[in-house]
Amino acid sequence: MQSAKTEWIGDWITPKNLLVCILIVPVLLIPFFYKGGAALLPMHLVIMVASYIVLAQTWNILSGLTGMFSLGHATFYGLGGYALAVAMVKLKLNPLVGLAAGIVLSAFFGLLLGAISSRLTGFFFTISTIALAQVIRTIAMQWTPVTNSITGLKIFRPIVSRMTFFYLSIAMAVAVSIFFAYLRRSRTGSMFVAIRENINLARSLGVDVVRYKTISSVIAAMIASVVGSFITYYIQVVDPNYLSPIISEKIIMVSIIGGMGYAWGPIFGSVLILLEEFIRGTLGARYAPLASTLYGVILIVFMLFRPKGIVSINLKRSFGMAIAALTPSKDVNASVGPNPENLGAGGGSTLHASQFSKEK
Amino acid sequence: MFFEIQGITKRYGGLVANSDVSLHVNQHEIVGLIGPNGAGKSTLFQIIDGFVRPDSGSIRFKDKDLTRLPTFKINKAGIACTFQHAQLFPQLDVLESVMIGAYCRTTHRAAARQEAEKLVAFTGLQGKESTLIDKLTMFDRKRVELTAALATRPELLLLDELFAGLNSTEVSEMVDLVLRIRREMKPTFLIVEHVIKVIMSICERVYVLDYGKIIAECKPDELSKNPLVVKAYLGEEYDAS
Ligand SMILES: Nc1ncnc2c1ncn2[C@@H]1O[C@H](COP(=O)(O)OP(=O)(O)OP(=O)(O)O)[C@@H](O)[C@H]1O
Ligand SMILES: [Mg+2]
Repeated sequence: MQSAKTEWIGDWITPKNLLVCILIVPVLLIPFFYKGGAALLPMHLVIMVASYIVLAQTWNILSGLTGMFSLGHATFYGLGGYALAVAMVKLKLNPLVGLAAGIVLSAFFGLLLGAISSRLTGFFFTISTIALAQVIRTIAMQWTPVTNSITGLKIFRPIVSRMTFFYLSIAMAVAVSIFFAYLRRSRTGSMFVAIRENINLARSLGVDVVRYKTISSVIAAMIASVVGSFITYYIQVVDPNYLSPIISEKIIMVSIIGGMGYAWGPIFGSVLILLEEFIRGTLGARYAPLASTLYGVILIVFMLFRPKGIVSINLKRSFGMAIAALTPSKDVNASVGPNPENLGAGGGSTLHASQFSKEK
Repeated sequence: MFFEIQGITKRYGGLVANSDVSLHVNQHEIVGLIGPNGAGKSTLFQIIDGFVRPDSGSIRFKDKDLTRLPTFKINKAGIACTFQHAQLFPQLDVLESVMIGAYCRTTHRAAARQEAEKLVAFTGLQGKESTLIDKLTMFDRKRVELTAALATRPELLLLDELFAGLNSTEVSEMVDLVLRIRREMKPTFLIVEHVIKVIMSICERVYVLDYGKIIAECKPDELSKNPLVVKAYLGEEYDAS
């Protein structure tokens, strides 16, 4: 029998995954394409997109895999941000201490959410995530001596080149996406989806529902907190906007439009983050809120026609003909773009592309 | 005593779904639990599984008190069940559904997978490992549910109307499967069933529940000779005529 390890690696080396690896190369070279200051904006965009990929992956663990639908995910992002800033500005500590404090603090609130979810499910759980987010946000606004209220905290740090943030953010996005795919296929991931699919059947098959719900929310909270600290260190300011429902909405949007429960979901969905920046860039900052309106419209359109997100679009069917027309070879399959299920995100170890496309 | 419940009572408002129910099952036995609709059979199963808390009474399994344990611990203790309305993971495939059961006994993915593959073949689902549950027929769904329950390596299996909704070929296939499971895995069975042919062909002993009370305990072939059972099933008019 194959060992578990070789089976995994073997599953992952597919032409499509390799294709994605190749496509990422030009992105990695962005700092060298542009001369001097021109690279700063594209790098900033990539940093934001990569950060949202990570945030959306964490939401995807909690809500996409485990079915604990959260509308307050910004809580953990904000906690990470504030922990770093308070540690640096108020306590004059090393930023790494702040990062660690944020992780610990978020883990605590993740535990709390897990405990809540053992009592409240579905709609009532969702409401409690909103309530928790609201509580944390109010504290950030009112606890002026520590948080500086709506002005927020400005941090001073040694100059770090944007390239460092750029590569760090990409590394995080790749690592967390691979972690998600790994998690999905692990025992823990199976326990998560069992809870999402049928909580009573899961219980009767021996799944300790409370334990796995808690694990899910703690993992999601800790990773989201890292992103909060990272962005705060990068932008050098944290304020109550970090805890705003708009952040939670964006995280959800990226994950849902990409495809909930799939590793590729947040990666595909993250193009939406560019939309806002694009509008800001072409129409001016005054029109940036327009993006929110567009997000809403896009979300409704997707819910109506593609409830399972971009990953459920059958690339073979959509582009198959175009590609067939362009390539003389008959082998359409090999030349099609990234297929969502290759990162192992799909249902179980043996979900095939054909089933994917049959899904509505 | 292998499995024993004593004095289980459960009220839903004014309705007494189970009234002072006591029964026992010996190891390796196949015991039937029958009764008219609404007699309280499923309620009793839900109480054994830990989904519903009884108002009073106790459940003992291999000298362990299970009465107040949560469902997953009851499963770990060695009791698995299938539900009257087949419960499944709609968007997962057959193999992963069974693996989730297997993970109850192993933490290793490869071991769980191997176990699941073995069981899927055993219950006649081979070739459907990667089919989504949503796409299966009723018969296959019931088999997946049973296979996942088996993957938790139960010593006692509670089957709630496993045979309901199957055509006669499927019923006999399922009977064969249950007998094969019994031969090779040696679990003990407690079976709720309306299909009397099934009760006759596999059960060694039968309890009859009516309005929440156990009214008879006998061999399957003695059922038709028991006036209380006949009355419960056919009503008072039969008695009068
Ligand atoms: N959650 C509940 N709330 C209120 N009443 C309930 C509940 N569950 C069951 N009952 C009632 O308890 C009684 C016993 O129900 P139960 O489902 O145990 O019967 P059963 O013997 O399994 O019947 P069937 O053969 O139709 O499956 C019924 O009258 C039912 O309406
Ligand atoms: Mg019933």
